Amino acid sequence: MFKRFIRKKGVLILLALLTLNSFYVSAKEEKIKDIEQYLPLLEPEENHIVIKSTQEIVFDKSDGNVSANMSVSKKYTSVRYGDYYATYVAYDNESNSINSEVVTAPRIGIRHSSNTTSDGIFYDGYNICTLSYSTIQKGDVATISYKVNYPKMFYLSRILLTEDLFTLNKVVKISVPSWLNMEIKEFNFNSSIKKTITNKKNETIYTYSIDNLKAYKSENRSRSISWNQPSLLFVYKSANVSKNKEVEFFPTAQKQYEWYQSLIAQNVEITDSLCTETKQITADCKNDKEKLATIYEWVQSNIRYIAFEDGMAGYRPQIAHEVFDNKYGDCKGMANLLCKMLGCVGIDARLTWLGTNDIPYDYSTPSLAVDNHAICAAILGKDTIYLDATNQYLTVGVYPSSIEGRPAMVSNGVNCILTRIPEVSPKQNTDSVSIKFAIDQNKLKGTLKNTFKGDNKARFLSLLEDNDNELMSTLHSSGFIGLPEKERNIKVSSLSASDSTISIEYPFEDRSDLILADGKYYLSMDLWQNMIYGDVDIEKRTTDLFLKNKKVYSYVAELEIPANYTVSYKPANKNIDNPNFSFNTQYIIKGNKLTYKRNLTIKNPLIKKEQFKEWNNDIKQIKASYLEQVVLSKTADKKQVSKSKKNNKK
Amino acid sequence: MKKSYILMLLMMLVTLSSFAKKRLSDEEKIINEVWARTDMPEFDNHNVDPKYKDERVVVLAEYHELIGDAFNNNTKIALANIKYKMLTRQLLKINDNSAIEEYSTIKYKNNNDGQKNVVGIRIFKQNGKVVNLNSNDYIKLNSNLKARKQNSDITKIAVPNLQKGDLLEYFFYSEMESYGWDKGIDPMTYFLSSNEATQSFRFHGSFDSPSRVRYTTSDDNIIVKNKIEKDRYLVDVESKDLPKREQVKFTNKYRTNPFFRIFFSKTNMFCEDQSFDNNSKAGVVRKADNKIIYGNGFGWLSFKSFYSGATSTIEAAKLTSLWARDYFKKHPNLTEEQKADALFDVYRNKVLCIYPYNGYSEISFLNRFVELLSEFKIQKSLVLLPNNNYFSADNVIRGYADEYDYAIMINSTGKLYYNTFSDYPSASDKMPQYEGETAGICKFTGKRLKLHFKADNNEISTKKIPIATPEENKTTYTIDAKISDENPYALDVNREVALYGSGRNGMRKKLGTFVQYDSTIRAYYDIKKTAIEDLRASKMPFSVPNYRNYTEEDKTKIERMYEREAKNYFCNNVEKVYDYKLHSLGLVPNDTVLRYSSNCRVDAMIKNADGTKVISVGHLLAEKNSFHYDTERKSDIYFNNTFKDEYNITLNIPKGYTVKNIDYLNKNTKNDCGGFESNAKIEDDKIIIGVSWNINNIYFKSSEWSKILNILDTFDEFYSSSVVLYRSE
Repeated sequence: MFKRFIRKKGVLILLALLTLNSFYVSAKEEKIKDIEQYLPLLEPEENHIVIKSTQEIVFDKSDGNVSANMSVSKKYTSVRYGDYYATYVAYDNESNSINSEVVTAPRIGIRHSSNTTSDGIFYDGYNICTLSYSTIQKGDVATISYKVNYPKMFYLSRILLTEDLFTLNKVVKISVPSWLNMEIKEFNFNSSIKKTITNKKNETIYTYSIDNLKAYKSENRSRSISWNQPSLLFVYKSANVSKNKEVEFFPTAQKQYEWYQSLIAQNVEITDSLCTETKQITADCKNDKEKLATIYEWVQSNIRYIAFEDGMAGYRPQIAHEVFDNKYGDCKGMANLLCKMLGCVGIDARLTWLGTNDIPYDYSTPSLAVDNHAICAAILGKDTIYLDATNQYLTVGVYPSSIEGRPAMVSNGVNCILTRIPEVSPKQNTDSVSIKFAIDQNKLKGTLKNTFKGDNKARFLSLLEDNDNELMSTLHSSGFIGLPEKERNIKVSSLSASDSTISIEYPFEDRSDLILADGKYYLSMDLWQNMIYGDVDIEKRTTDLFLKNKKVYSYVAELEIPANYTVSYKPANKNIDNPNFSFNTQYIIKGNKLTYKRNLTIKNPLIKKEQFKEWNNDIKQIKASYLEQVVLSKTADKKQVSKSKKNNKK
Repeated sequence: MKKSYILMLLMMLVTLSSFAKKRLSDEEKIINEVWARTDMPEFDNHNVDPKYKDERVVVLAEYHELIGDAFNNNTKIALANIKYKMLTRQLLKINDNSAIEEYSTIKYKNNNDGQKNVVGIRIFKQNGKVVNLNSNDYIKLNSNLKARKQNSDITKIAVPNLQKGDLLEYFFYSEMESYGWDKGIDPMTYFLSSNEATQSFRFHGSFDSPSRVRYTTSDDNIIVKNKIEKDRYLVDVESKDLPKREQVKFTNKYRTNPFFRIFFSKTNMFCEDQSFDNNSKAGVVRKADNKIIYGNGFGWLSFKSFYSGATSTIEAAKLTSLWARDYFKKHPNLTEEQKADALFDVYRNKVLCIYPYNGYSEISFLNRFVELLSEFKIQKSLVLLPNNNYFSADNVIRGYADEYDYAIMINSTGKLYYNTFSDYPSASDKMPQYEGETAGICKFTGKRLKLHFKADNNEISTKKIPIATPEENKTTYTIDAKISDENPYALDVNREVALYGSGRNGMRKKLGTFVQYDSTIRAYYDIKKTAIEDLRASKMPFSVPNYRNYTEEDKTKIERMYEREAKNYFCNNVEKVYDYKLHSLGLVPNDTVLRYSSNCRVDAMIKNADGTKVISVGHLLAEKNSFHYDTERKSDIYFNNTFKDEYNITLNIPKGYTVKNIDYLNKNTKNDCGGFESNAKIEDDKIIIGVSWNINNIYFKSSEWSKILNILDTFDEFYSSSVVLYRSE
């Protein structure tokens, strides 16, 4: 279950690279007339389109169980030139399976790839069916159809009403039998989706129809597809599976919790040796707070995130002592281990389920699509502290942007507690740069110190680890400027995950931002320039802008004004403040020092489409501010300038 | 239908699971055998040399074993079916978290049917405990159940409980069979350097016959010992204290790192038999001959097999031949080289036109070209070219050149005609990847590559492929820039670019379309027929729709290609591309320069200081110098090609502004490696800047690094330069 969205996307990318094993079948020739009529509807590079897409979902009951069957059929053509196509269907033979695959075209391919685990997941048992055809000529028609069976219908938790090609007409039909009590929740709907409900004697048919559906294309700095595209979420409540038998599914979050608990109950946890070792780890701790921090840090640095998510392992947490012995586990396994270890030292710790910020749903619509992550909630006195051990660099009480503010389901014996992870302040994720420099042989020379906190710290340490701890290459790829040639000249604070901040300090030298012309120095005081590429193409962009997390970029530069020089021009201070972010600059002259302070705070990382115009204007101002120069003139020149100005006034 | 499918699937699963059980016991046996071996004493040394104590990972011992035995009657040489057993074993000291992360998941790939793969992993904990990994932790990924071949399995192993200070020891053992026609594992390359410091390296090869293998080394410092012992031919290489690879720019992996190679292929064994390593001219012939008969993906298939299969080249050659007979009659004074150019250009165009971008056999392409040259009585040779991007050879004769490419040379002038896939090449293109290499030349006595090809010592020679001068690889940029009316921080920049040398081929692919390429060739060579007519005249009528699809698709991409080019040039600061044009593809003898223009708006080029404008003129140069250079360097320096970039920049001074002294823009660094020179002047209301910078060679000794750094540094200085426009008083 966990990280499913990421996984599916990754698998598709992986599979797109695989070659296809093709064979020939005869195809019924079909041709679309007046194909050019569709050209005005398409982007210049769009060629292949779906003429008709139908998706039908029916439910069946047998032996006290309810299954779901989804039939998919699509007709394709190309409008500019001959083209080919491949579609990929993921299945794991446990929660779902594929059958009745048919492709009609002159040359087709159907291929099944097993265990197509994508990067980031160690193993998920997923298989991919690739349905493809080779080039069909302009106006020719190819069809792809298949069926997917869900032996337990709650594994079919939602469907997206999107297509990756422009689609002339898409129809989704869901036949809900009268014996099945379910709700269909609509998300991100717009007026182009026509919905009809047909009540028949034994079933209700929900039909959704969309004409001229634009191809879905992911955009940079965007939230997940679930936030942006229309989808249907299925809330299965109960079913009369036989005459006198009603089965309950997930009518409430509590019921979903009970199902999770039933999976956990199958685990046989042996905690004796685990507790012995945990007590050794915490032997020097004076109180529960210290024990909690020590155990959290121990799990972060000793247990590696390796995700096994095949079959029920996608839902059932790994046994704690197995994770402890192996030193690896997925999020559920790591969370379970944390809970058990904390339990060993008497701290009340509970397994907690939640959906990361990729998921737009919450537990008011109980379903397997609601959550994709697990953490541990520790209760210390009146405080509940959430511990996400998959993020190995954040200290206790610092919440990664992926989970902050997200709805969570916390274990509480037979019942669950529905709550939210606390929201964080932008200050939690601070990136501060402080530069002190002087002009020396037409270069800016001095010292630079960069301090990271929160997500920024985690991102840097993660990058460092990806670069095999090669500090110089990490600093270069992270955009550090004016670096010394030798790494030994760089001072690095402790890079321990337990430290709330880390800092990098080095002798700084830069010539690109200093111009000496006609005896005057022109220089930029802002050498860091955060968020320089922030503007959006209003005409083309279709989704909200998402800047990932709340954060603060703080920058202070202190210039030693050279002897016999004075600041003849300093830019005006800037101040932008809106609900999404604030930006302010300040130039201060004190003695022979010119200090520039700039603060950029992302208060709300989500910039809505309707805010784009204002956003672009603000970004334009920020860029302009970065391009403002300070001018240093020789003292005599300044006198001359003021004299001439005075003369002019006279 | 459905039932039979399920039954089939069940049968497959049962079969697979029974295999799995067998493999498991085999695996355990092999694992136990490897761990029990006493002939690898270096793995008993668990001490880290103090000089490596701060490394994230230290390889305490690395061992490679390769055993080859024939298992059919053709044991002598070429057509032997060989069973290989390969073992790679490493013992590592894990010193930090990044190493834990890296080694906590071990992956390996299985490539062939019938291949046995066994992985053994054990961890030596600091308390002396040894943890053997259970093979149940192995997970096979990405196998293809329905395909005929399970050809891309990946096995992943999660290594449990790995901690700092642990010693991780693992091995991969595999067995595979290679049949006579199959290239199999050939060649095996073993580098005596890696990204980690290595205390001990050893290779041991054991073969049933000395004729089974041949080896080469990248340099004479690698000592390869061989002997025959108990009817086995043994090959051993041993080395200690191998430092980490230097991570630097301008390098060539195969030239800066020592390695040796083991060859199994019959081709190379023939060469060995002919004393190839002793500069035998016959060796070259043999090698050339055999490569063409057996080499590169065609195995031992007869020449006729691939001849008949390569329809596109046959049809293209036929059409070219018909055209050339007429064209050469009309132009009786053409030289041999002009005729060869015309044949190459027209033939190549027709091949691309018949089957655009889908490739063809390198051999069949050259074969048809040779036939065309033969038809028009042009004397030619086959040229074997070591490719300096792929391996370390500087001399084919020494026998490294197992991965060489081919070209055809016309004997009268020595001009080479290269074979490249997928681009839009012309007879005038040079390929920098072969420059500086010594090629083997085999003259043809017959009209085709193989059929009448005989070894003849008198016809064998070598040829050093000349390195293009910077002037030959020149690129000129004529740049006209003015402050944008739309954005006060942006410049409107019009660039006229002309490429004279090896950059043309790649740029044609980036900015050109096949329709432009085709029309240029047809216009110059006075070909009346259109591409469609050619296709209809060929026996490939199905290519007509393919051709149309291809050219239509090409059209939809042009705008994006120019946008990408501009963004690459100006580091993504391009706000808008106003217009663009490809003036010439630089294809044909009367126009060998590729010319294009691009007019765009570039943001963040102007800074403001109280109305004074500071313009980043340095950023009008194509950025080539954005990475970090260490002043110290141990390894030699390799550039992809020589180059000379010339810029003529005009910056228009807007009304109401003046410019004062701009002498600081004048820079000059010159040495025998190259140079950077810039000159700036003010003329009327324009700033005129001329820039020229060049690198003179593709290879330099590491001792020359400081000279190259001087040039790069001057470039960097100019690139950081700005001019100041003052408001007129």
